[in-house]
Amino acid sequence: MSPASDPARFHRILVALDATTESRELLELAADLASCFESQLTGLYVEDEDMMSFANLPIGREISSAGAGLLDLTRQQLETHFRNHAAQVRRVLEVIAGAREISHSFDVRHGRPEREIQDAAKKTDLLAIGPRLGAILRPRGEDIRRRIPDSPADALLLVSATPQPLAAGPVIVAFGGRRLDERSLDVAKRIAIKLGRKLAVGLIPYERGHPDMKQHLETLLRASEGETPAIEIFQTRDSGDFFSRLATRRPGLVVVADDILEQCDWYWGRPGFPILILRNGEHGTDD
Amino acid sequence: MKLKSLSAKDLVVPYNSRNLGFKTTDDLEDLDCVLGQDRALEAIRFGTEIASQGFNLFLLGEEGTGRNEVVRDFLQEKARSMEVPEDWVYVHNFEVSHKPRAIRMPPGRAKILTTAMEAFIEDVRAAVPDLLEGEETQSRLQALQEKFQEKSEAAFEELRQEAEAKQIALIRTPMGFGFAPIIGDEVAKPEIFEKLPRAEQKRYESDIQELETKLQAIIKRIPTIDKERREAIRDFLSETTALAVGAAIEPVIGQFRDLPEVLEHLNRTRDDMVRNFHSIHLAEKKSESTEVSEEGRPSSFEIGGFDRYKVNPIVAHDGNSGAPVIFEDNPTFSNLMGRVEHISRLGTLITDFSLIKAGSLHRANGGFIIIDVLKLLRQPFSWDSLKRALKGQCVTIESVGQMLGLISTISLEPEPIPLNVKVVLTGSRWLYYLLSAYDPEFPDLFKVEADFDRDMERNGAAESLFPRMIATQVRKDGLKPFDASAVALVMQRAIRMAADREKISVHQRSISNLLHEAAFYAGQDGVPRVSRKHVSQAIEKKEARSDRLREKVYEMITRDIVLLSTEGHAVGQVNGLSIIELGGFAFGRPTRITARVRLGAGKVIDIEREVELGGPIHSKGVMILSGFLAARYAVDHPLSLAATIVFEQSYGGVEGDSASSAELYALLSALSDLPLRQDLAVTGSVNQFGEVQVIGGVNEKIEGFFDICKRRGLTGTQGVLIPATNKHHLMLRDEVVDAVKAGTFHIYPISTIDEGITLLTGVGAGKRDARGRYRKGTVNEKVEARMMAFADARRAFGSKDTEKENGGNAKGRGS
Repeated sequence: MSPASDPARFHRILVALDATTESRELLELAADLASCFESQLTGLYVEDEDMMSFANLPIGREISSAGAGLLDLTRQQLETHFRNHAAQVRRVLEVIAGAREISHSFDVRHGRPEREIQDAAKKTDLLAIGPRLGAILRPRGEDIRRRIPDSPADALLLVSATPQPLAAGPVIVAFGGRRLDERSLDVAKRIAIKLGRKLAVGLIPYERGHPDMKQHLETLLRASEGETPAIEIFQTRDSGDFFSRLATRRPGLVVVADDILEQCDWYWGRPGFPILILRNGEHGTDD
Repeated sequence: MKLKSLSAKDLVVPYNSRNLGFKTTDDLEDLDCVLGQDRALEAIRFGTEIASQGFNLFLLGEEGTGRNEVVRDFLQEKARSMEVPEDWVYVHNFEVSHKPRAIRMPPGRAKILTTAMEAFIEDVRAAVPDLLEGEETQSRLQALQEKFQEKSEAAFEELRQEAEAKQIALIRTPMGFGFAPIIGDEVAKPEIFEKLPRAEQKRYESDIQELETKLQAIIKRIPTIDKERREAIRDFLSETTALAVGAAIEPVIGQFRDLPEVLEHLNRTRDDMVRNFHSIHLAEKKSESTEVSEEGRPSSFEIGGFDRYKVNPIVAHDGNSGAPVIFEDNPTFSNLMGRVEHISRLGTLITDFSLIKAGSLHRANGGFIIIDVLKLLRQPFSWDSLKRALKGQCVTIESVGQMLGLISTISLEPEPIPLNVKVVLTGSRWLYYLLSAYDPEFPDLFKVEADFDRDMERNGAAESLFPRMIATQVRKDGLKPFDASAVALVMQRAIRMAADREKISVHQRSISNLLHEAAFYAGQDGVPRVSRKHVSQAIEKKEARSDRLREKVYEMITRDIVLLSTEGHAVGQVNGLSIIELGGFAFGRPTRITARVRLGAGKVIDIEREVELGGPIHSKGVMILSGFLAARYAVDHPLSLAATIVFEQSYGGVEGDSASSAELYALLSALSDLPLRQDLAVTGSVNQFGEVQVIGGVNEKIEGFFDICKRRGLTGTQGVLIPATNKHHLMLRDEVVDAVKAGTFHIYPISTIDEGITLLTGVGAGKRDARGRYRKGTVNEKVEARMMAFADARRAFGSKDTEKENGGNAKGRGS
C-alpha cells in the first residue's frame, strides 16, 4: 500500500541522532514506530560545521560543564569526538533496530545539522528530531519550532527527556472532529494497539470541527476494522487546555495535527513528552 | 555334708495375680508420680525453682529411663503456672540499617503489632500514590520542576542573549560550552575571522573573555540550583505524604502508646516514610515494570520498598499459654541460636531484618529448653555458643563466619536479646563426668545434676505402685487393658531386668516395649484384654527375633562341633559359663575350660592372655588362682608347677572374672587327677582365700546351660554351680523353674571352692588337721601331694644339675 492509499503509514523514518540521552530515547520511540508501521529506519549523524569552525578559531576555548574549567579544543580532538560519537550512535541504532528486527541504515553527513537534516528529510515520511539541532545554543525547542514548518515530512519531536519510560504511558491524541484529526486518530490507534498502550482522546472543540465530536469519534472507532485498544476520552476547552492536561496524564506519546502548534507556541519551551506532528496535506515524497 | 540345691521358690519371685487386688488395669488409677526417680525429681524441682545464674540442669542416666518424658511432663506442668514471657520483634534500624533493632513487648502484642503494621502499609500503599499521582499534585510537581529548570535555563538564556547582542554565539562543545563570533547565522569561519579588522578581532576576544567569566559563574551555581530543586521537591512530596501517612499510622500509635520503645519506632517509621515515600514508590513501580524477581529487594541492607516498615515477630506468644517448654531435637548452631537467611537476587545473596529467624533459645526465653547433650556436642559450634549465651545472658544471632571472625564484609548484626532460660541437658553419665572433668565452664553453668536410676527398691510401696504405672502407660498409649496375670508377668520381667530380686526395673522404654508387644499379640488373638499368655508370648517372640546367634552357638554345641560334655566325668575339664551380649540381647554360652599341669617354675599360664584374647579382669582372675594355690598348698615349698588354662574353642575375646572358679576347679582336678562332673556347669569368681564371689548375668548363664542340657535331654543330675551370693539375683524363666521343681535340673549355691570341688568330684575337699595335714584321699590332700612332688622333683632336678656341674669341673681339673 502506498502512502497515498494508506495515509496512516510511514514508509521511511529518519531519526536525527547525537550521543545524548534524549537522542537515545528518541531513537527508541522512532524504532517502536518503525516496528509498528514496518518502516525503514535511517539514523543520521551530522558532524557540525559550526563546532568545527569554533575549534579552528584562535579564540575558541571550552568551558567544562563539570567544573567550569577552561579547556583548549583542537580540530584533531573534535574530529576524534565526531568519529567516536558517530560510531557510538551507529552501535546504539544497530542494537535497538536489531532488537525489533526492523530494516535500518545509518548515514553520517558533514555540514550544518538543520540544513543536512532538512535535506535528508525530503526523502522520508517521518522525521524524528530531538531538542537540539546544532552546536549553537538557542532557547529550548526553538530549533524545532523554527524548522518544523520547513520540513516536508511528519515529525516526531522529543523536546526533553521524559520523566518516565516511554512505554509506560498512554498514547494521547488531539481530536477535533476535522478530517486531519481523523488521520491523527487512525495513527494513534494503530500505535496504541501495536505498543499495547491505552489510547486517550482529548476532544478539542474547533470552530470548524464536527458539531458532535464525541458521537463522531465513537462512529469512527466503531467503523474501524481490527482490534480496538482501551480508550479513554476527555474533554478539553481548547488546544491550550489540551496541552495543560498532558502533564498529569504522563503520556507515552502525543499525536496532534500540525496546526495545533500555531495555537500553542508557548509549549515548546516546556519539559514535555514525545509528540508526533502530522502534517496537514501531502507528506513525504516517495521517490 | 551334702550340698543342697535351691528349691523352685528360690528361683523366681512369684506373683499371684489373685493377690494383686485388681482384675485389670482398668481398675487402677493413674499414677500421678514418677516411680523410682525420687532423687532425680527432687533435683529437677530444685533446679527449676532456683533462679540464680548457672543453676541449669543435667539429667543423667541410661537411655530409655524415660527421663525426657519425665522432665518434659514436669516442666510443662510447671510452665503452665508461670508467667508468659515477653514477645520480641525485630524492626528496621533507620540509623544503622545493618543493625536491626530488637523491641520487647508484653506477650501477645507482637502479633498485634505485626498485623497493625501490615494494615498500615497497605493503607498507605493504596492511599498515598493516589494522592501523589492526583492531578493537583502532579501539576504542582510539574510547576516545581519547571520553576527550577527555568531558573537554571534563565541564567543561560540571559547570557546567551547578552552574547547574541554582541554577535557572539553560545555553543555546546564536547565537554561543555564555548563562545564564538557569529556572522550571519553561522559561527565565523577562521579564514573570515582572520580577515576582520584587528580591532574587531580584539573586541570579540575581550567580549568572549568577559562572557566566559560569567558562564563559569553560572556553571558553578548549577549544582546548588539542582540541590535546591531536589530539596524543594522532597519537601513538597513530604508535605503531601505526611497527612496521609499520619492519618494511617495514628491507629497503630494509639494501640501502642503504653510502650515507649514501640512508640519511638512508630514515630521513626512515620518520619522515614514521609521522607522517602516517593522514592520507595517509584522504586517499587520500576521493579514491577522491569519484572525483577525477589519482590524487588535491593542489593544491600537498605531494605527496599515498604517492607522496611514491617515487623518481624521473632518471638510471639498468644498471651495465656504459660512459659514455653522447648524440646530441641536437632540442636545445630543455627537451630539453637537463630539465623539470618539470605535470598539470591541476580547472583547476589541479600538479606534484611525480615529474614532473621528465631532459634530455639529465643523461643524458650523465659521458660525451659531441653537438649540431648550428645546431639549438642556433635553439632559444630553449638556447645560453645550455648555456653556463651548462658554466660552472657543474651542470645546473639550471627553466622559461623562472623563468630569465628572469618568474614570481613558487613553482615546483618541483629541486636542481641536478653536471655533468661533454664537449660535442661539430658545425657549419659559418662558424658556428664567427662564434661565435669574436662570443660572448666561446665560446672559453673550446669550446677544441678538429676540422676535417673534404672531400678528401684522392690518394697511394698513399689509393688503396689508398679501396677498403677503399667495401667497409666497402657491408657496413655491407648493399649488394651492388661489383666492381673499379665501385670504379674510384666512385674516379674521387670525384676529380671533389674537382675536383682530386691529391685524392680523402671526402665521405661523396655517396659513400654513389652506392653506394646503384648498388646499386639492380644490384638491378634482378638481378645479384649492382655493376659499373661500374651506377655509371655511377647517375651519369647522378642527373644526369638534376636536369637539367631544364640541358636547358631547352641546348634554347634549340640552337633558336637563345639565340644561340650553334659554328662560323665573328666580330669582337668569343667563347663564354664560366659555371657554374650549383642544389640541388647544377652544369652549364656557354656564353654569347656581345661587345665593341664606339669613340673615348672610356679607359673599358671592363661592362654587367653598369652594370645591377647583375655581382657585385664580375666587375667586378674587367673593370677588370683596362683595366689590361691601358693597360699594353700605346700606353703613351705616353692611353687613348682607349670599350668595352662584355656577356654576351649573360644575364638573371641574373654573378659571378666566370672569363670575364675571354674578355672580353679579344672586346675585342682588336673593336680589331683580327680575327674570332674561334666553334667554340671560352673560360674563364679574366686578370691585368694577360695571364697566364691558374685557374678553378673546369672540368670542368662543358668538358662544357657539348661537349654543345652534340654536339647540333649535332661538326665536329672544336671545343674549349675552359682555363687551363693547370687541367690538374690535369680529370676529364672518358668521352664527352668519347672525343671528344678521336677528335680530334673539343679542349681547349687556355692560359697567356697571346697564346696564346689566336693560337688564336682564327689570327693571331700578336706581340711587340715591339727598337724596341718589334709586327710588322706581328699581333694586337697591329693593336690598338695602333687604340689609337693613337683617341688621335690624340681629340687632333685636342681641337685642333678649341681652334681653334673661339679663332676664336669673335677674331670676338667683331672685332665
